[in-house]
Amino acid sequence: MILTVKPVDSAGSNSQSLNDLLEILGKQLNEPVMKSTARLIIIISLAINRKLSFTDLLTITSLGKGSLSNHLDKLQKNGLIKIKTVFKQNGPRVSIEITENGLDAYRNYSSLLRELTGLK
Amino acid sequence: MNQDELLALSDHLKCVGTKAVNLDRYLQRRAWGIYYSIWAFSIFLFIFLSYPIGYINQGYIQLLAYITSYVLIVFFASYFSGMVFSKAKRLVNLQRSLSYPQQMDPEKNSFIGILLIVLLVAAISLISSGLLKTSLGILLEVSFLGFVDFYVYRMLKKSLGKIPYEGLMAVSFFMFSNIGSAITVIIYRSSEYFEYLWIPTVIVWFLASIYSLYHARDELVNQPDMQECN
Repeated sequence: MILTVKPVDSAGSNSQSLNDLLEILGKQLNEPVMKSTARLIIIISLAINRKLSFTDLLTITSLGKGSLSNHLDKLQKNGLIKIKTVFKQNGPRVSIEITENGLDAYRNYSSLLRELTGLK
Repeated sequence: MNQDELLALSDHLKCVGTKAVNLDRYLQRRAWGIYYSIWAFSIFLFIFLSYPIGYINQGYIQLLAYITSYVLIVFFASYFSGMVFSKAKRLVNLQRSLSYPQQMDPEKNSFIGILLIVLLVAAISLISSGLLKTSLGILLEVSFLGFVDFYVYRMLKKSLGKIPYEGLMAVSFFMFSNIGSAITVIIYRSSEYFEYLWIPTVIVWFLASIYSLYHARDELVNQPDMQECN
């Protein structure tokens, strides 16, 4: 399932728009936002760096290989990332890139964060 | 959603964002490590490429060789620098969202980027026109490189928080070479010592690169637990 939702305009800063953003982000992450710390961190890191290796993600997330693969699979199934195998001099390397949908998820996260920070 | 739920959600999202920023410092420091080595090599070429090019006898071919090689060096070094700076800017924007959303000013960032490109083109024209041999040229060169050094310092501070030792050394030596080389040109009316004063910067930037790549993992020493925000 690939979601092609656009981030909500920050002008609509009310409870309804927050709920909408939360629901969209939850669907994009394939889980409620409050339960997907690892996936959100992966999306944020990829949004900042655009492309990372599997080893880089293992290092920064400190997750196990199986657990990270599981998270990446879910993100790929939702069209948020692209996983590619790149052949280098020292063997094949797995490269993970963020997609436009992944960037939308990051923008939704940022909008949500800004709206909530503004409410405080 | 009631006020308590909103507060809990806000705290959760901030917690996730803060963790992501802290974890990303490892990647940022590594990117800076690559940046130092690219510019160390570029400065080296910038200074010492004039020797082999000087052997070319025909004036217009020599000028063409100067312009082509310097434009290529600046183009490739700027391209890789742009990649490092854009990563740093995206991290800075996230940091701003976490604390001061009202201060987000992407237009200002774009303006500085455009200004740097304009200054870079001006610097290339300056070097190729021979104006560098005049006092005005030297003053312009020192000001431009001083501005670049200050910009690098600001980006280092914003993306890494506390600037690591190698970053401080790199920025300080660049400023030393910039001002020192200009002073020697003014005093001796010759660019004889100009090149020599950039050698320490090339060496320090190469060492900074190795140190930065080797010690990037230090940023992960106090790595936060991934499950803490749940």
